[in-house]
Amino acid sequence: MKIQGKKVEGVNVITMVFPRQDGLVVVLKAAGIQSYEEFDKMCPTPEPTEKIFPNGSRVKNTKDPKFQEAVDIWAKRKVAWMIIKSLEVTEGLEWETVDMLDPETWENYLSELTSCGFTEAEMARIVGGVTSANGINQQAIDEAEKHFLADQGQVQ
Amino acid sequence: MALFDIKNAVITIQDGDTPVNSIIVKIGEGTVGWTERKERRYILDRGILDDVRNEDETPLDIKLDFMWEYYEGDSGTDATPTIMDAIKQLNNAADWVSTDADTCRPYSVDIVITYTPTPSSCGDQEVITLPDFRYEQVEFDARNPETVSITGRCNVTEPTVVRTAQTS
Repeated sequence: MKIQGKKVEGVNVITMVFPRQDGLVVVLKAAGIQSYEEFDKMCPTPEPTEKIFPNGSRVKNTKDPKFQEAVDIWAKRKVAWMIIKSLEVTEGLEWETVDMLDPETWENYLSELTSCGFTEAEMARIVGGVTSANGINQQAIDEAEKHFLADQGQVQ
Repeated sequence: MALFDIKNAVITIQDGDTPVNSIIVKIGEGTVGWTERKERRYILDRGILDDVRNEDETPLDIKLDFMWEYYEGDSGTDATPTIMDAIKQLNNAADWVSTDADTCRPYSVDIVITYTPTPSSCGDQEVITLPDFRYEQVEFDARNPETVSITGRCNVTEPTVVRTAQTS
């Protein structure tokens, strides 16, 4: 695909810099995820059970506590997978307790970041960077639109 | 077993797989009962009752006679077996695994009756497990397909009953 003759290519990558003592910095990068196929294979969306009535009608039982718990776990894992998958673009990043092939370990990224000294505010920045890279940060989208429209206004 | 309102009970029919395959049946009207028998031999001493001994064990007799309101399976797919499929290992329950560890014996399921008094202040929740149930007779009513009438036996002498206090 081209826009005004220029090929559009490359996923969105957000670079996040975290200053540390003695002038050191920790650099994390988050890239947009183009496909969730890998996640969907490992964690299919939970389906509610169905109540089957004597007349043959079926009603999805979304109030089933087991289903609600499964959705809760699935949602947490999806967020965790999105974050660690996005951060994969960071050069040299290695997790000690997170295994991409084991969904039960995905949420360990939080404890690893905490043990590395990241504060809650910094972790919020990481999440913000990941959501921006994936085009789901509404604040970032609004700002980009604002800048784009302002630029257009200057040109005119 | 305490007398309970069958409308506050659900029946779970489950297999021996890990994780278990099951269907949960909400009962509308009817009865779910079982008979425990203990055969004794009374020995007389010159015409007077004297000694008592246990005779051979007798399996638990089960009678399920109810109309179901609805049933539901483990998954939200068309793969949910019917009650008859589940007890007969047919159709959508063809891959169910017998609860009996001895695979040479006929297919069996566990029947679990969960009675939850409502409101919770009315008593403990009672879970009655009738293990290794094998049907011996089923009756169908074409006019009322939601009617279930099944008799059979369990390869045990008595059910397992667990009572748990309800949290309000």
